[in-house]
Amino acid sequence: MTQYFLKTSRIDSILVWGHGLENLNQILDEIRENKNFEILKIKKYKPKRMKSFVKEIYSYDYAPFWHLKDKTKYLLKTPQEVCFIFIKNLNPNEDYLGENSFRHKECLTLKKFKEQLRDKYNPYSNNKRTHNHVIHATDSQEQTSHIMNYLGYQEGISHFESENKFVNLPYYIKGFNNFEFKEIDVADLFCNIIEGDRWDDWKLKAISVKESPQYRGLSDDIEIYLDYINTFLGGPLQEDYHIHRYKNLSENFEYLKKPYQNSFVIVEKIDDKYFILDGLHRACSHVFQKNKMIKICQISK
Amino acid sequence: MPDIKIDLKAIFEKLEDKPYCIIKLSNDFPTYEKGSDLDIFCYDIDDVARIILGCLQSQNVSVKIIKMPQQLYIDIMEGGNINLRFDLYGSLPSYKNVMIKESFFPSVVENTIEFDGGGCLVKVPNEVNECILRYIEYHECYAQRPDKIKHIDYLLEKTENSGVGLNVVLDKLHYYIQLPMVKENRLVTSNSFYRRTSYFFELFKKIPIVFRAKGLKETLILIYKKIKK
Repeated sequence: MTQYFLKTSRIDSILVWGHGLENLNQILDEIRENKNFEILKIKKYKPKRMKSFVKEIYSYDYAPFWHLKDKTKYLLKTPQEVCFIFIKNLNPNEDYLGENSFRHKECLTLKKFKEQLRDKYNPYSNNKRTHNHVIHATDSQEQTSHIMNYLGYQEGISHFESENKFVNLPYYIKGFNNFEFKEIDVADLFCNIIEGDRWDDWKLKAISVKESPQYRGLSDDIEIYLDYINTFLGGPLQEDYHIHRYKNLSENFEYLKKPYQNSFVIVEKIDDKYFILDGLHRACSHVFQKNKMIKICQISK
Repeated sequence: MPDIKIDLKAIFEKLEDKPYCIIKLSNDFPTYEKGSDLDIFCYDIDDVARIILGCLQSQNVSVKIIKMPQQLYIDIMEGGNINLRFDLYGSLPSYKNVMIKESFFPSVVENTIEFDGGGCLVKVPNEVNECILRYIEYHECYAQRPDKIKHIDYLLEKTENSGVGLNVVLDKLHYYIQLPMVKENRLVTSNSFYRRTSYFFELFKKIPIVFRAKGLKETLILIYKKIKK
């Protein structure tokens, strides 16, 4: 007998507090390895006042803030820098927990996962895990939406919705109605790369694809790419860029191979130059394979 | 005949499981004139476009897509001109001269028959829906395009020779025609001062017309009668 399952998903947020940032890369790896989660966005943030920030984060919690006040006191002494990791939760095993006014909806998959992370990365005292949690995770999608609003994304979790299905467009490319698919010379491909020393102090520079750290990571030394993402991840680079994923992509890479026949490199034409908006890694892998031409999707409004 | 030859059979084979319906299919299908279009009704224009685009990608042609809220063009380009356009509709086109209920759209998509164009199987409207669509097209465009009378000829031919009941076609058409909402456009203010002022102003505007038509004496008599009333 054929069995049918209703597959649902929801958007959640994992917040790494300042004292957990030293383990950010390990935490990101743990999320990547978990098949229930898919990283959508990594955003570092510097709150102006820690007290009001903590209050804001917990203001949408099921428990009243006075109840959490003592529990969150330690956060006021943590470094004033946090990182939000927005994830697509592919297995929101939701249940109602707690009693009376504390009864609330929570994802059991995420609850279990956050406890695992806390076991690993929370500070320990006398061989005992303290309650100075390094991470906070949302209980419901509504809480994620609230956090998105706080960070300035007025559309809430709709921010992550892609506008088109006929060509694979990432959620951050919106408002384009004209699409042109054609083959161009790879020498006409350009990209904007980030220059600077820190994730919160940078500027954009337009260069050809072959000069990009993504290409040089393949042609010269992968450390160039690693250094680039380590510096800017969470700042101007908010997608889940990762060295192993890039290596896996570039090995045995075949551009527009089935089932990725609609995964075109997305470009915008500015002054006779094609600037890549999405697909720089794919373009670099294609160019690295000594291809002279590339099929692209040129978008305009 | 166009220089580019699109493998329409490969495209429609991929669309076999999708709910769609080609409207006003040319008798020459699967061959086509350069610059012609294929009007397709479907529920999910993005999904159908994704499949068509995937097939065209392997056929190595230059493609342009223009997206509108409930419509999408996929243009296969040949030297700056359109070779073939897939015109995908996610809902009924907005007709100017006739109001058709939205529910006619799923009725067309759900009630299709298979048409074999030289081995290329496609879904087209059943005969009743085909007649209705052609009648709507005639009604919509006849004033500008007298050649649309061909749709009436088609309808007559079908009802006379192919066993499609004209009453069945008209019954269904009447069911799906929406009647315009009757609106009272005249605005009457509840303020009596404005109402009277407006009334006298309208009368005042008539004075020169009456003067020209009936002369001064008659005009003065009419003014006197109105004031007295």
